Amino acid sequence: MLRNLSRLGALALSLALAGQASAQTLKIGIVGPLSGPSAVYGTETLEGARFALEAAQASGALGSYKIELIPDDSAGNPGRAAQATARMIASDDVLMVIGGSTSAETQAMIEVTRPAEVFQFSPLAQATNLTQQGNKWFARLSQTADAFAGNAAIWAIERHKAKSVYMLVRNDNYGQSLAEAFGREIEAKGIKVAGRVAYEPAAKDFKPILSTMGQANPDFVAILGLYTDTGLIVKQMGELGIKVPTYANTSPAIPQFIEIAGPASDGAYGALYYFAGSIDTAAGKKFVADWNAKFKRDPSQYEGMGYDTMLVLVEAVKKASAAGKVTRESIRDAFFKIADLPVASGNVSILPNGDVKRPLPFVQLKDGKLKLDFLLDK
Amino acid sequence: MTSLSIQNAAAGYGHTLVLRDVSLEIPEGEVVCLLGANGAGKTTLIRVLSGLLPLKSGSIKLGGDDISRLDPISIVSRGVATVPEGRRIFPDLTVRENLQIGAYHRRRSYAGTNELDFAFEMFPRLKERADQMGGTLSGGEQQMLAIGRALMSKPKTLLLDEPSMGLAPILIQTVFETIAQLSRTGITILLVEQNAAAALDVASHGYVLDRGEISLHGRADDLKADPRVQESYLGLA
Amino acid sequence: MNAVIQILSGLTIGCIYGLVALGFSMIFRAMGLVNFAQGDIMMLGGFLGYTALSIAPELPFVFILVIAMIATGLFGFVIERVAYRPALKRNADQIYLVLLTLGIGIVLANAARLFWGANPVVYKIPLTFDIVHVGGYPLPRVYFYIVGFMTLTIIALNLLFTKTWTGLALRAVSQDPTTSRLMGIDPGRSSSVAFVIASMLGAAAGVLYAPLFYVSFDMGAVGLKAFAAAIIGSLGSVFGAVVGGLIVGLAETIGGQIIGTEFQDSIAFAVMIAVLLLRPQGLFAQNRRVA
Repeated sequence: MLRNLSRLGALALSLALAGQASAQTLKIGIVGPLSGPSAVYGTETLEGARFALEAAQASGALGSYKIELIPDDSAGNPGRAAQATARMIASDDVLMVIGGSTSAETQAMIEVTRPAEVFQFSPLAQATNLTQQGNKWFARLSQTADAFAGNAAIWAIERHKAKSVYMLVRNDNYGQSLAEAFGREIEAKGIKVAGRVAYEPAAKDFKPILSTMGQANPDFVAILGLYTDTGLIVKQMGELGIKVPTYANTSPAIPQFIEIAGPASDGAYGALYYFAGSIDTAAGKKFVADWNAKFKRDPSQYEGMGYDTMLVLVEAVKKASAAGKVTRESIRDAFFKIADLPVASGNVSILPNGDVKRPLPFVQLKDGKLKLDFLLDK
Repeated sequence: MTSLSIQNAAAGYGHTLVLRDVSLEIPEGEVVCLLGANGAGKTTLIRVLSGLLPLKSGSIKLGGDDISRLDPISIVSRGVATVPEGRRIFPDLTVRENLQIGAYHRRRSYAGTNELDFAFEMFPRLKERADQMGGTLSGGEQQMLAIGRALMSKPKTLLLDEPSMGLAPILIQTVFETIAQLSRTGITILLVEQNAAAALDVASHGYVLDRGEISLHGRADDLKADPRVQESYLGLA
Repeated sequence: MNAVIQILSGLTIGCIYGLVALGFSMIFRAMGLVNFAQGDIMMLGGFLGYTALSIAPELPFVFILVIAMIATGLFGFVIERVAYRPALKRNADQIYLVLLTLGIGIVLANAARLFWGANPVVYKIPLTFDIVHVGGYPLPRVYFYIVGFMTLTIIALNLLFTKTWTGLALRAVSQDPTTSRLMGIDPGRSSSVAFVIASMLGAAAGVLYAPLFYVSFDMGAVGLKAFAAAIIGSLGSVFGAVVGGLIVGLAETIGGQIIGTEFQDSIAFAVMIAVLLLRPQGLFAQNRRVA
């Protein structure tokens, strides 16, 4: 009898300890490509998140909580991303999941997180439709591709006084959806579209298009495509001696764009998630200074996004714990309450549909380096 | 010794035997003709001798060496040249090139275009047409070209498959004169022919192939006198 | 001014198609086989040139070209011996052979992706961005390399086919493989030679293409347009392959501008269909191949 009692006591004690441990440690899954051709997105995002987490744990910003990041490699493969997510939810019992990096893997992960009712927060995914599915369990830190393109149009008009814009559009879903958002803003402002040409995703020789474009004599060119095509277009514009201010989508921040376009890439404009030094707030400056102190270089855009993802998460944990228990549901609700939070990339608000409002930096390539051209914050 | 000797040869396609049991002797320097109806297996025998078709059983000896298992390249290198049925001129090679390619197996000792002179002397018509494509020649010219091409390999043994087929009578005569002339230079010749009378005229010995087997053989003069040959192949009753 | 640049760039791209089309024709002549891996051979050449450049960045472009050609030629030799010739010896069905060549192309593309990565690679040499002005027209310097190489190729092939035993044998085998054997020609050796030459020309196309654009594992798609070019010029005709390539190149640049660039990729095949409707045997039919 006594023996049984003591056994029961031990059991109760271990249960209590386990309960206490799980209340203290928040397991957060983070899925992205850590290997393969798109590894840069996953590894740099993870690095930025870890950097922010270290600082948060050290400063005691998390109070009695502790965050444990559980990373897994998707290799950029949607199937593997979904698998990793399912495993984290089932065996690791994660509170929520961060990811994915590409839109395809993010969509695949949503198929897992949504029915499991686990909140998912993507640092990088851009596809506009991800937040148009009435899904209450997903939000993201990145602007949609459409927002990039729409803002680019506003930037071209306000900052560069574009009067006659020529659009070169990759003839697939991605390019066409960018072009729609871009064209909508251009037309809304009554600016002339000097021409709009769709090119095949596999196209390599753009000279026929470009000479037609040259004849239209636009004062601004927007290339809405991937770096493999924007690079060749900018290169061939150089070969033909066409010198017009050119927005090359997000390509200028991608090293291969400069390799492909060569010297003609000089002067090309682009947008990116985050650009170190573009944010004048205390939080913005602090991040760049801290990062430089540790790594002796500026953070990349993905490192910045990873860092901010963690800052947003820490804030959400604070909000959730202030409101009561941190649960899968309360953490989600806390994310949607994030408004004007000062982080490295400016002030961030999560919108009701899961999209984000935050500043967008526009940059220009000069001598192989990116320079801030304009920070669009509206 | 470059006599060609075939013993108990059997060959065919797939499971069908075209040659059942063929034995044949072609003494050095002589012309032996092989007669037979269509489908008797004459061309199959030529394909076997030139190495295009493997032997199923039996043996072929060239001057005492067994050549039964050799491929066409080795056989032509041993001095056995073939004038195939239907002449098989390369249509898009010039006459000159068609002749030259006959010397392919001895290309390392080939002395240049003057090697073609003997063929042009033998067949002056070919010289006139030296730069024309083989495919543009008339049947008779093609036959001369096929013989000339075979001679370019400097053969000791020549296998001729139906050289008179499809030719005008005057040309047939030329062809058989050519064969007689070649024979005088010491070349061993196996002549496969439908034109039995002319063939037996140039040959010293003859064989008659019937449904894959030799039904009759002997000296050419004896065969000419044989009533069975006269009836079946010479059109005499 | 624009028209001249268009025509020159069309002709240059046409030369690239022509080089790959030559490979199609060489192999078809020698083996009666349409090698759909030819575009991927071009890709391999482009990547091997890239690797040669990474190892020896100071090497002149011409050496890179030659190294890539030799390496790819060796590779073609092995493929022919290991994959194609055994299949032909077994008298494999035509549909099987087509699948075999397609399969080898897919294997090559995937191997290249594993080895060189999914991102395109750029030749980091001055030639990639070098523009020369001729008569006021800005032209990439590599245009002259491409046109020069094409000219040399035509001269070299012409000499090969008319002045050498090897070339004579190649022609003989393409017309009548059986009778060629009676002449002492080894058709297997001819197909090796044809495969090596086709692979070398494909590699050259890849290396010459690289400074104009970039090299990527999926660039074997160029092979389909080159195939259209070879068909236009009659599959098996050397001269036709070159002319077919130039026709496709010109039609793409000029046609692309006239009827809309969305259709640029379809033009090669539209021209091919048009030619086949008018002349089912292609423009330069001469191949009287005898079984």
